[in-house]
Amino acid sequence: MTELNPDLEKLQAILIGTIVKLNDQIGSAPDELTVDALTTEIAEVGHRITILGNVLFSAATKNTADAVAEITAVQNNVQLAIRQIESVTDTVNAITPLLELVDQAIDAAKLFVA
Amino acid sequence: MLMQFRRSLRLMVIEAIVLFPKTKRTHRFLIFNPKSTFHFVNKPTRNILILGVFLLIITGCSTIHSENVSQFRQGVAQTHQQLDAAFHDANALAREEEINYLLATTRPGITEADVTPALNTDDVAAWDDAFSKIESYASALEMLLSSDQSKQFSDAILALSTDLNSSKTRININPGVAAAFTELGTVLIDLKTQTSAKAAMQMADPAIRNTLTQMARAIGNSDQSPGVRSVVWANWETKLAEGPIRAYADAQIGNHPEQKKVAAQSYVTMLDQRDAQLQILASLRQSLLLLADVHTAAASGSTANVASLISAISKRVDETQSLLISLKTK
Repeated sequence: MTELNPDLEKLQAILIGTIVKLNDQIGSAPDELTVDALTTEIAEVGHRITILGNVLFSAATKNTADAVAEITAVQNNVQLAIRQIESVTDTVNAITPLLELVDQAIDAAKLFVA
Repeated sequence: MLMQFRRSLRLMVIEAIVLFPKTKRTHRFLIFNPKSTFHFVNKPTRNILILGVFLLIITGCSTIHSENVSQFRQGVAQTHQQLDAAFHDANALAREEEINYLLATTRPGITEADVTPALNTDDVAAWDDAFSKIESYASALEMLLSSDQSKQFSDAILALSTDLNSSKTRININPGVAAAFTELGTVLIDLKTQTSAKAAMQMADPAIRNTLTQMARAIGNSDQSPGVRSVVWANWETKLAEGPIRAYADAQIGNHPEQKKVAAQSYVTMLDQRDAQLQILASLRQSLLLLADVHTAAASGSTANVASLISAISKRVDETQSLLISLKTK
C-alpha cells in the first residue's frame, strides 16, 4: 500500500496529539479563563485537523483511481466472455433459418427438374 | 454431466493407481483404459466424453461458485450503504463545527476555506463511483456464471438436431451422438464460463484488495491516527470543549450546582454520541477489509470462508443501523 502523504499524515498526527494534551489540561485548569483559552485552542486545532483530513482524503481517493480502472477493465473482459458464449448460441440458432432456405431451394430445384 | 465427468475422472485415476502403482503420478493419466472407464456409453459418445475429460484436466477443477459471487455483490451493496450513512454524518458534524468556528472568529470576511467539509463532494462521488463499478463487475460475473448460458446453448442444439432430422436434407443424426454432442457443448460452455470467471476474479483480486484496503486506510486505523475517524474525533472534541466542558467550568466558577449537573449530563450524552459515530466508522473500516477477503475467498472457490465473512459484514451493517438509530434518538 502506498503512503498517501507522509508529511501531511505526520502533521495531522501532531495536531491530534495536541488536542489530546489540551483536553488533559482542561481537567486541571485553575480557572474559567484557562478553560476558555484551552477550548478556543481545541477549536483552532480541530479546524486544522478537518482541513488536513479533507486534503488527505482527496489524496486517498485519487490513489484508488488506478485500481478502480483495473476493475473496470476486468469487467470488460467478463462481458466479452459473455458475448463469446452468446455468439456460439446465436450461430447455432442461425442455422435453422438457413436450413429453411436450403429446403426452399431444394423444393424449387425439384420443381425445375420435374 | 459435469459431475459425471468428474466421477469418471476420479475412476480413471483410481484405475491407473491400481494398475500402475509404481508409475509416476503425472504419467498415470496417459495410460488409463478409456473403454473400461466409460463402459456405460456407446463408442461415439464415449469419444466425446473422453474429449470432455481431457478438457477438464486441461482447464483444472476448482470452481467459482455463483452463490459466492452473489454474496460478494450483496456485501458490496451493504458496505456501500454503510459508507453513505457514515460519510453523511461525518460531513454534517464537520459542517456544524466549521460554522461554530467561523462564528467564534472576529474576522469580518468569510471564505470557502472557513467552512471546509470533512470530505469533498467530488471525493465522496468518486467513492460512490468505485463501489458502483465493483457492483457492476460482480453483476457481470453473476451473469457469466448464470446457468442460462449453457441452457440456451443446449436448447439451441436440441432445436437444431430436430430441424436437421426433419428437414428435406434428411440428415439422420444418431440420437445418442446428438445428446452427447449437446452435453459436450454444455460442458464446454460451463468450462468457458468457469475459466473466464476464474481468470477474471484472479486478475481483479489485487485491484479489489488494493481499492478496499486503501479505502480502509483512508477511514483510519484508530480514532487518533490520520484518517476520517480522527477528523470526526477532533470535531467531537471541539464540540465537547465548546459545549458542556465550557458550561461546566462556568457553572463551577459561578457556583451553580444545577447548571453543573446539566453540563455533566450533556457531556455524558455527547460522549455516547461521539462513540456511536466513531464506532460506525470503525465498523465501516472492518467491512471494507472483510469485503477484500470475501473476494479473495470467492476467487479461490472457498464457499465456507465466503459465508462466514459475509456473516461478519452483515453483523457490522446491523450494528451500524442500530448505532444510527441511537444517534438520531439522543
